[in-house]
Amino acid sequence: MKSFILRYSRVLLLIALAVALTLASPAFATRENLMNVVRQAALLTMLGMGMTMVIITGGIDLSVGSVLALTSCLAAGLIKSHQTAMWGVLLALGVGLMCGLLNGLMVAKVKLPPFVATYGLQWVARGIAYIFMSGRIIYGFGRGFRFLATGYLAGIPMPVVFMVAIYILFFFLMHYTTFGRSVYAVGSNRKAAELSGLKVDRTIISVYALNGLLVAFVGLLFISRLNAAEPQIGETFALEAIAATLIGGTPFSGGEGGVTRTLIGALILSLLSNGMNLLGVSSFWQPTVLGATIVLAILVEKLAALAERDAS
Amino acid sequence: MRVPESIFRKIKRLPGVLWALVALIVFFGISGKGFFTAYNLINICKQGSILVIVSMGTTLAILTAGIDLSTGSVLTLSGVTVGLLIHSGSPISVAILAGLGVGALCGLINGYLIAHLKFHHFIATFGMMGIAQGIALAVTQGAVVPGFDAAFRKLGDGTIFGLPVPVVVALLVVVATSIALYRTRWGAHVYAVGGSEQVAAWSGINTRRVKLAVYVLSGLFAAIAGVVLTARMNSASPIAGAGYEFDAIAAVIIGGTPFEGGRGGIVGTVIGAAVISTLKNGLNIIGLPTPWQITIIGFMITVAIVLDVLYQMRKDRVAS
Repeated sequence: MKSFILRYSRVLLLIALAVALTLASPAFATRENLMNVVRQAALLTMLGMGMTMVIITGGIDLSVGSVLALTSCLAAGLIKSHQTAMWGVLLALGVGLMCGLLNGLMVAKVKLPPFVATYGLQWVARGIAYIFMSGRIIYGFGRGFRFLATGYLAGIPMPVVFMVAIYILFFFLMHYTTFGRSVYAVGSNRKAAELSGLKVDRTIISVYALNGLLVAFVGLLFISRLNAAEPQIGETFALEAIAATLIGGTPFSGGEGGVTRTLIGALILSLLSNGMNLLGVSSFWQPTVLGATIVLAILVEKLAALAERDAS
Repeated sequence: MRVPESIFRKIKRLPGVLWALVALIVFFGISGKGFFTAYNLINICKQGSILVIVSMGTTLAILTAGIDLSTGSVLTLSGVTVGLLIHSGSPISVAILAGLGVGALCGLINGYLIAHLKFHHFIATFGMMGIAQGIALAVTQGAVVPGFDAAFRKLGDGTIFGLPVPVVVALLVVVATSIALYRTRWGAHVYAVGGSEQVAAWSGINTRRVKLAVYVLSGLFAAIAGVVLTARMNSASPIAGAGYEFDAIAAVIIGGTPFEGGRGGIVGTVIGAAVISTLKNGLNIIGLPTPWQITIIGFMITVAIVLDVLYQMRKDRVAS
């Protein structure tokens, strides 16, 4: 029973939250509102999944917000000056991939601690974004590009469609491929992974590169929704993505966890902020609720693990 | 068991960042009109004092291979506590004590989560960052608490023996930290925990107590900074401390204490804080906007990290 609670504590928390909100507010369980919750969670969920993959290798990527700002500013510049959005999109994805590669190389080859490597790139990327924009804001994109974040496919908002697609992709990648298994292996014991012949460096570099690519993609969705790009966007994204991962239950220690947990973590965060809005809780409390949720989620896990150990 | 760097090696480690400071002062002295005035230099010292106070705690946390992301929010919360209490009629001393108590309590919670419940330092202080920020916003309803009487403002504007009070407070905090760090067994334990927590524990050090104290001090120092800042601004703003955690981490890293912990120290941090305060002031005078300031500070952090890695690589090569 205990292990059941431990295993599904996040799902139970999500269900409990949903039930509580349904009882507390008649506006909660409407199709419109629920769609809103999922739409709000979509971008964060996608960033969270990339972050989760990085954290499973025992790493962290603090640069995601800045890389997102850099790629989307560069893309916005090209999109505005060309007929088609294609070149801007390609440039963004290319630069995102490069930034990720750079992170991966610094972590795998130069052996910098991931915290340090990505902390450094964070400032470099943000700086280039500022210099590129030199004080302007680029706004007003074409209808085609706006469709990416504001359109609907069969009645479902496009960001949600992308979120589901990327979730399925990551789930498959992490659990049904050699790459996914080596990600877990590297995170749980790098030495052992190396000794059993896994290409550890290549795995780590691929993980950061893939994350960079994903971040650039989310950046495109973000400016498509905002209909504008400026260099200070995304300053809190790295921390929010880490929060979704942690609340979902993927630990910092690496080798454990998964993207499904992060999906649940992001939904919990989104439900919390939606619930507070519906119940008229002052938005001033939002940071406190976010911080307390993270601490409580980890606390429950620690205490449950302790109880488990004592029982056996 | 002491793990001291010899004075000689300490001096050898310093020059990099010290030269950066000298270069900055010369550069701004030539290019920035009004930089080299007594008024402006005193202003830099006052501004820098608050950063120095905060970054002493951050240095301790990073020396143990930890981090404290909550200092900015804790600074805010303490400042707001003092402001609200004074406005509700509490005596100034009571209000200040309460503000410091709030900071120490936040630090105690951080420390308890990290040292006893084995929370990752990043998670615990990241959580506290949100918790303290939200409380500060909620109790003030997002509004600035304005205007205090002269007695309290002295903490920000007054002078003792000709020195501005914030500078005196910063000096006291630096001296207290250096005594604790370099003249007590506890200080040696801080280095030992940062060098290798496992080895420190095996050699009989109570690593929990060391880490708990580090985070309590970090919270307390942030609170002291919050009180001084509130007095100096003559108002308590619910976003007063935003960004201080970043500047403090930057001061520590630029000052030569690496994220891995176990080496470095507070002298470097003081110079690092001076570099950042001079840079911000100078860039303001030249008229560069804030984003550029952030970019340049970020660039300096990156340079400091790269230099440290190169230094370590060279040392490893010499050693092997």
